[in-house]
Amino acid sequence: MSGKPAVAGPSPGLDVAVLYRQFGALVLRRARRLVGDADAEEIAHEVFLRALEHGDAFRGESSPSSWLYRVTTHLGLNRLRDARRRADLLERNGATVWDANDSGQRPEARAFLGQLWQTLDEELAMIGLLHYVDGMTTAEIGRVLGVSDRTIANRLRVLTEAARTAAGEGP
Amino acid sequence: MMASDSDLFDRSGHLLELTLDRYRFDPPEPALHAVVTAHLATCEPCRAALDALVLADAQVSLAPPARSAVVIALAAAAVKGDTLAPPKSSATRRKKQAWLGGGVVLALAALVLFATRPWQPADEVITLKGSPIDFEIHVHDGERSRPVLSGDVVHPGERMGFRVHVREAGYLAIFGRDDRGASYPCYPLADGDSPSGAPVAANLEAVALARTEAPLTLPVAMRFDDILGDEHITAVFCEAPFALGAEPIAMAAELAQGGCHVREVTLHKAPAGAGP
Repeated sequence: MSGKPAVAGPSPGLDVAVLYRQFGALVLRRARRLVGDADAEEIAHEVFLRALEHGDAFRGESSPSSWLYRVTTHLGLNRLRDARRRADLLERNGATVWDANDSGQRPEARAFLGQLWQTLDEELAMIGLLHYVDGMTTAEIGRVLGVSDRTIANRLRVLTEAARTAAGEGP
Repeated sequence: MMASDSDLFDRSGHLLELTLDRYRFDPPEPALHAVVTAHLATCEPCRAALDALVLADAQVSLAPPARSAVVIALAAAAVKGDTLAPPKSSATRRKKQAWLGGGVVLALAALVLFATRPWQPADEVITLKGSPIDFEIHVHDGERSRPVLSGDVVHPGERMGFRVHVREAGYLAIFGRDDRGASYPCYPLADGDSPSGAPVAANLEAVALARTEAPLTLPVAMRFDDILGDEHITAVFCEAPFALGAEPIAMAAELAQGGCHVREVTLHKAPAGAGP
């Protein structure tokens, strides 16, 4: 099945109802994956608030989905950095909050998914999430975050070393 | 913007979830569409992933929070900043403090209202927002009937029935599938009372339902078989006639894309004596 719905980009006036109807499911699905059901709707509303705050820029975005995906990920990670919420989530889901997209479950992936992401700076944690959880390539991470492939590659190198160290494999 | 085709795939060579979302929701990007369409034609896991996304999204109803138009309009007017990069946490806090400190008290009050509203998973809301039909599942244990929601426990031998309140005339079909992935018809049924687990008819045709003033009990009852595990019950309601073919899940996803209303409820079948 490969049908394509007839949908358009955000309306010029960023009609709130249209925005929610068009992208609500996408944002909520992404938020639920990151923070679980309890906080997802709150995150989703915050994401749309950001979109409206950035009105003209959001309207000019060629891929609104990518913008919303990035902001949802950013807000979700921030929410998880709240110690109490993180503790709740870990209690519900165990030490690994998300499933890795990496079917091989390399030790470094397990290290990142388990605890390491909590200690990394915001950018590195986001890159790690897109890499290990979403399975994105360097190029796609760069596109989503709006930075060069080279920057992402360098950051991934740092991340991989940290993950290997955390996994006990040494740098 | 599409840097290269390889950006669209994960490291396993399948389409990224984000790629499928861009394909579905973004303004048309001819290059992306050509690549995705061609890949979908040859990648069964990717087609299944797309179907799963469509079906999952069809069950989600996220509406702007109450008074959000007021809140958001005020916030948008009070906050200036057009960078697309997600703001840093501290920047976010400063920005919020700025506009909250600017006296947008009404916005704050309403924001708190929706920020603290408890989340209800979509599948616990039987009535779809804006849906032309309310759909309920009832289970009878031999003594009494009870409505069930996603996550509820049912038992072998219990009978399942359906109640609908049709607000706009349309066509309805209901099917189930178990943990093994086997699909079976729930409505319509040839004999009106069948055990679950029978394979879905090759061409289960939806039944025309007229608008009703009050909830209506459908003239069918399913009896749960002895196979334990999850049972996924999916109702599909469309304005126009349709049939669920040999792959009802894929068809339901396609119909949802076309504007039909799709609702899935997952029940957990446990041995008698377990759960309510």
